[in-house]
Amino acid sequence: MDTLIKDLCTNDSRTEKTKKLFLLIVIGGGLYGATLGLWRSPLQALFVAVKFPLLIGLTTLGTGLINTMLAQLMGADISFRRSFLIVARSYALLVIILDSLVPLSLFLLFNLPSMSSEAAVSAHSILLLTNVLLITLAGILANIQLFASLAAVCKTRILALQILLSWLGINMFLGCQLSWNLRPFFGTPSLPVRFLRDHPFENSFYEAVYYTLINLIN
Amino acid sequence: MTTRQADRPIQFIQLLLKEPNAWFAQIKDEDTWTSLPTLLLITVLCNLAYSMIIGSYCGNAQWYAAPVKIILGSALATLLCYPSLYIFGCLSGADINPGKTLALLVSGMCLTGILLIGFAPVAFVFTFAIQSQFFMGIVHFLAWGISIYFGIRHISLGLGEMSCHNTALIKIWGVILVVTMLQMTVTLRPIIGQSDHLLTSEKRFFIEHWLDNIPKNRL
Repeated sequence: MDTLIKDLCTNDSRTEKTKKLFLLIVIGGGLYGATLGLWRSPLQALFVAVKFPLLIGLTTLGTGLINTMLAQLMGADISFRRSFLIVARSYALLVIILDSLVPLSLFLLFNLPSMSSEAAVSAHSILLLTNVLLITLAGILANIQLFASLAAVCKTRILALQILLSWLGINMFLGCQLSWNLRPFFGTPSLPVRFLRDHPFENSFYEAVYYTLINLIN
Repeated sequence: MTTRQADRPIQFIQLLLKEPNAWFAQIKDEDTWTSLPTLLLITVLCNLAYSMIIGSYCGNAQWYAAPVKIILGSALATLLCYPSLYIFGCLSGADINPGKTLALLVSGMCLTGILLIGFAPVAFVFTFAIQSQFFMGIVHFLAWGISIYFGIRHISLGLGEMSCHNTALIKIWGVILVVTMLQMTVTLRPIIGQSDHLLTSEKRFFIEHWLDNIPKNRL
């Protein structure tokens, strides 16, 4: 494992193996995904074990082309394959960090009121907030590594930072929408367990946020 | 790579993205006429592909109406802004002539089209998900806004290579181009939404049109 982490933190292109990264994201992401859905039901755990790596894969593929173009335009000599690998490597690191927190997630699940109890709604909220915190922490650490990878191939650190911010913006823009399409992840207690919600592609994350704000204002 | 070596469209795309200075050097040498058809072809194909994604939101007649309107509208807006780019460039001290200006303008629009293709997978995901035309418009304007920013930046960098010492006027020209293109989208509406008519006779300013289309309630 320490060799693997060193490989992921090394900016040497020879250590970047597409298959290894792919497997890491699928297996590691699946493991963490399973803990997200486990509180709701074992079936939900299985569904999220498939959906979590899928979310990472689709976001990486969907933004790969524009990320490369923007990096090249800003002056970095990065090919499509290289930019794809740099992003995939940061996601692999994210997955490893999240996997290292799986025992803590399981301990939390053990301490949460069960799905059938009266406190199920508050338990669901605690689960949601805790995992958002864990993902944020892992995301920050993975992005520090992404910045280091970019700094190694860019002429200046400012350029690396500019590219990092542009990639983050685009990845978040698509990632939010795809996670909305692929929900449920945690499994709302009042809704049945399903792989996807009804009509998963007939709504957008940003419309939902907008209408929620409108409702609050009104 | 130089533009003389870049005889295939894909090599030209790489050149504009990675080595724009080689293209600027060729413009300075006034050796661009053989490359212009390739640039125009890339621009048209990129805009065609992206506008088909826009048209796919409503489908039906928009499959062909949106690409035609976007390609012709972009070309018209670019032509409308061509004389002002030349004059503003001259006033900024750039060593240019109408031919060099045209080559720079076309390459800027070509780069905008290439970036739109980069955004195509992102826009494609939203095309299936978004219900409101207004939000669909925002997604396309975000993609287009970032793309046109880099297109105008390319033109500004090119003028810088041709002794332009004052970029303030070029920035103003960039605003003029953006406003012209935004108004063109409203003049040629509907582009995203559906209508019984291919074009609307009602004259409207684009900001007024947008404000009227902000959704107030959930669909």
